[in-house]
Amino acid sequence: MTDPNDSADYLIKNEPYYLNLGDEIKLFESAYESRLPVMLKGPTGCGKTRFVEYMAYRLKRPLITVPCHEDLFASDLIGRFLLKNNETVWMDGPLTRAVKIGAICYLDEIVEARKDTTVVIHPLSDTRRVLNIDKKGISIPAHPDFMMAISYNPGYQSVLKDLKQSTRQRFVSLSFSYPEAAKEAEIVTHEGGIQTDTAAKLVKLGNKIRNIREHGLAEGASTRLLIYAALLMQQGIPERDACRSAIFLPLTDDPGLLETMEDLVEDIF
Amino acid sequence: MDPLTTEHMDRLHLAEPKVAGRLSKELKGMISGISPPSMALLVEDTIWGLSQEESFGRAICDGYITLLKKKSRPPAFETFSKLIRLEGREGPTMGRIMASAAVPVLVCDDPDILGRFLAGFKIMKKRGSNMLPRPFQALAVMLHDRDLAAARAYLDLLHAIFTQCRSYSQCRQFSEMIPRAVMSFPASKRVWQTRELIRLVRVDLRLVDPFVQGMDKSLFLLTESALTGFVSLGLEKYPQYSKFAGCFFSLESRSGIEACKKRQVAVSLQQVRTRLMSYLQARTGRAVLILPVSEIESAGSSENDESLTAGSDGRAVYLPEVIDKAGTMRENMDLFQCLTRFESGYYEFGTFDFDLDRLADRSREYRLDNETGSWPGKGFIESPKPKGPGSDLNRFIDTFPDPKLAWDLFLTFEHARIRVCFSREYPGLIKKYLPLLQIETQRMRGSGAIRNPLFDLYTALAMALEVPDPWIHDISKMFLQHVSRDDSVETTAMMVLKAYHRVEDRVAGYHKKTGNGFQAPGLRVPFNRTIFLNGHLSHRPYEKPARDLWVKLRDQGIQVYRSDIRKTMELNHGRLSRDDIEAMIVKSGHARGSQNAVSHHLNVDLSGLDLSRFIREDPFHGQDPGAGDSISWHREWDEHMGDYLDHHVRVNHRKVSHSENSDYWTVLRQNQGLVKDVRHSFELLKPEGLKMLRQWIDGDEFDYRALIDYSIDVKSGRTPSERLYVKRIKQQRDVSVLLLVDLSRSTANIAMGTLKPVIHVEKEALVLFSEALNVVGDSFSIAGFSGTGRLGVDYFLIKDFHENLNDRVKNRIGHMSPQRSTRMGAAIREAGRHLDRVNSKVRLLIILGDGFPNDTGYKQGYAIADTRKAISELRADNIHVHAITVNVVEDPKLDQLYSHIHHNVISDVSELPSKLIRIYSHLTR
Repeated sequence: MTDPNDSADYLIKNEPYYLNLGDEIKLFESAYESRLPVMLKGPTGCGKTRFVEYMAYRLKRPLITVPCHEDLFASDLIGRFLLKNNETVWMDGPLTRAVKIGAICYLDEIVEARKDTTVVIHPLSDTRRVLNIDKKGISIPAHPDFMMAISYNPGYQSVLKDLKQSTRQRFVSLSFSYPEAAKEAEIVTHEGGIQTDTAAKLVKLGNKIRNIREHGLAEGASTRLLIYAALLMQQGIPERDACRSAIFLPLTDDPGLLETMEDLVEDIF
Repeated sequence: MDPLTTEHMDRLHLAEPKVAGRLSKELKGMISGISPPSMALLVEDTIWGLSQEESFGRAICDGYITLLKKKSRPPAFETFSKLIRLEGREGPTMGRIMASAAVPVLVCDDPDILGRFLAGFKIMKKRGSNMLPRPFQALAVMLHDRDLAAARAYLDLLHAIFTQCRSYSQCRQFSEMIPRAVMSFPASKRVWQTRELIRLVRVDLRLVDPFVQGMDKSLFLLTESALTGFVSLGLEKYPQYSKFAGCFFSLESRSGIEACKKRQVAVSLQQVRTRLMSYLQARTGRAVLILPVSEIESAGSSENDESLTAGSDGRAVYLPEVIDKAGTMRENMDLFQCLTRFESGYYEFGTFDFDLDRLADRSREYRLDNETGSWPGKGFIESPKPKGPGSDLNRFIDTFPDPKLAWDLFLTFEHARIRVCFSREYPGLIKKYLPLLQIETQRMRGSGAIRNPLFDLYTALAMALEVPDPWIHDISKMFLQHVSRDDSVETTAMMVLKAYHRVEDRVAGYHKKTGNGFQAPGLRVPFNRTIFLNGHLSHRPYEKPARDLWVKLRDQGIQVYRSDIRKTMELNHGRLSRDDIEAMIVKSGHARGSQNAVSHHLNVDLSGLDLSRFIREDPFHGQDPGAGDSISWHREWDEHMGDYLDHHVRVNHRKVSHSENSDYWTVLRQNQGLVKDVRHSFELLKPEGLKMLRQWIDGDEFDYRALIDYSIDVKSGRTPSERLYVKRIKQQRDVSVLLLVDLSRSTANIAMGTLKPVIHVEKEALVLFSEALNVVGDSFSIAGFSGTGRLGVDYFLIKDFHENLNDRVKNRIGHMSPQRSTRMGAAIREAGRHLDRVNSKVRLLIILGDGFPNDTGYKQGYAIADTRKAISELRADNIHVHAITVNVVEDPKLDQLYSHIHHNVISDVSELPSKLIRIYSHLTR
């Protein structure tokens, strides 16, 4: 069982770094005030998860994050019986825990989860705000401060992995993209711990790579990859090697595209 | 005309008035006239020729006229007379051929060439008169270009070939092939390339065709010594491996390819084009073409034809077809990279977005008076009114008294501006590639051939090299000040306006005298890099709509820049949305006359304006073209354009008959043993379904057997196990495969080593494949493709993913038959569309073909590039693509098409059924 006092364990103690890019903070706060569930859409590595962490800190709410995958069953979200001192006891899953302590429950990459699993969030994400636990035969009303947030990347998912309309239409949606160059450089500087001019070069490289996104690359270089490259550089790895390991090779195996990216890094650094 | 000449003319007039009239006309135009003996010879021979056949007489007369025009000496007349008489005795046809072929030889007045020509003519005419015209037409071209060394080598080649060649058909083939091949050799290399061909001819005539094929591929890139080495190596191997020598010289064998590669120094544009285009796409974010510089007509007008020429016209970057300037392949490759990088600057830093309005917004003094075509306050410019609408860049240049000087000055400042932008944005590029240009600049300066003060300015500004001259120092300082404040292309124009007068004074002392007076020496820059202004105009399809919209908005008091409209339209393929227009509107407070005008954009309500003529949203936006129809549309990659042709290919979904036939069952019967083995081996691939894992630390439910043990352990005082749960894991092969079968006409050919057509063996493979997949349970689909033309690609769905392997499907496999051509890219995209609807972890497309893509307007490099692109699109969508090519010998181009790790070649097609199964099980294990 969940102890309501456990919420302290899920509170984010230090303010995560997040650079406001538009009106997303205001929108999220408004959704929270109205207890509306939020869906974050955007390419991989553009800062969706960081944004949720930041908002949890800002709203002073505990945050429970569940990375979704195709073997995620409803019991993994809701909970299961455990054996304790010769007795079977119920152990809440992350969703039940969030419902009880009034946390923000963040289901990351929701489309990766099985479709029958995602249905359990439906009663929680409309006006009912209840969680049904079939194994115990009960329904738990959500804590007044509970909030549901999900994320997905519409870019690379096939139509089959798209969210069902019945799920989509329960959420307020915020769209994310890669930040504009100056802001992205600021983020890379902060997170990667490198000089601003080097960060600006990394961002320029990222933008150039995004230009060939539909020419063989499934995704452009994400801000996260740029930060990884910055972190490697900060450790003394030469720029070209850092970019190759942190950006190029994760993006593609195509020799032609790798050559193009090598050419770009050679020009920029 | 003297009386004797008149008398001769009268005689000719009596024989053939038309010929006489023509001769008379030609003679009147000649200053030196004709001597009486020559005239007598001309008329005698012409009348003699006319008496045999009219066309022969005309040919004789034409020959004499050409000799006269070229001022050939009298002995040439006599030789000509002797030759036509000699050959004319064998008949008018032979005489006519000689009359045409001998003239260029006599005009060049070289006894050695005449001797070789006569020897060659003698040998060739023995093989038939049909052999003669084509080879001697090519000779005439070489002699006209005064390429005597090449002409000698060519005549030797003809002599060598026709001495050995005996059969009529072979001679006929050579008479067509040799002139074409030799003329395709570049003039500067023709002599020694022809000599190498002679070496082969002397060994074996059968090596000629392979060598010519090899030259078309990569041998043309070898230097003289390298080609000699390559041919020597091939000839060394010849006695031992004469059967394979053809493959060596045609670069079809691996040893031939490697020997050529090892010796190669030059780099062709074809080799690096894809890489450079990908680079340009990344740098500029738009599809900029890379084309050979020969496609720009004016490029050939460079003063120094030997030097490289590179340029851009707003649509494409033009580069030399081959670079062999440096001593190593790496350095030549670097030169390609260097030129591409510097050319990309025009696109990235907005050279082609020059806008007179933007220039005018800087200050009143830069506002062009459209009526007079002059600049206020610049009294020194007494310019003519600009001609026609043109682009703003053309109009700007035309406003100067000496547009050529203005253009050179513009190019100087523009190259300098781009260098400054590069230094800031791409320090690595400047560090590596600017020195290549600087070395060339120093070489040009050192040669002493350039005496243009503007070149010094170019050296200092564009090349960042020290030039100790006060006036250059002043202009450089002024330029750097301005460009540091604003590095847009309008700064270049502003600098041209500021510096024109000073530069004009400087250049005046160096003017060259010409027929029309004095002319300033043109600026030559390293590698002749330039901007092709005419191309820039002709390739701007959005110039007019942009102007129309600009006028409409201006009339409403809304200011936008035409260059912004045009650029947005170019980037969006002509589409423009209301949001786009709103984003372009310039804040009124910063409009004309404001010193610090910059583009501050302001939202303006456009709802009151009728912009329907200009606004064009994506017509296919949000639609799946052809969804649910019996056709679908696909894009196609145009290698030459470097971009997709949207909705270019129509794929027709054809139904295949499922009327009864016994093919499927016959194959099963004939391959009983193999089918049994295949089924057995695929049984091993079959998963066990849902697997229950017991005694797990974590799981869905308690494992009650473990719970009992737990309880016993606790009661007996032992430490119980923590593994109390069961976990159900779904173990399944989640594979979907689509087998795409080429049904082109060539599959009707008999498979090598069998008596069966290729299609029959393909069907056998399909039968076994279907049986195997049915056992393993993988979801699979089978489709065939063929068609003709971009609007007629046929896609035959034999089995869909959801269908069982029922009798209807089996009958359809039996009905598969050879159809027409192979437009592979569209078929792959269609197959990708089908696979995209399948929800499987592993999605695999296997292409089964018997050669290269080929269709109307879909050949060779173009077809290969589109197919490669289609495959890369599928791979980007996480669909694995594997190709199996049958009935062909291994060809390196297949690696180019599919990449070597993603395809198999099965030369012996009878092995296909067993190998297909093996490849599949390997791919999905």
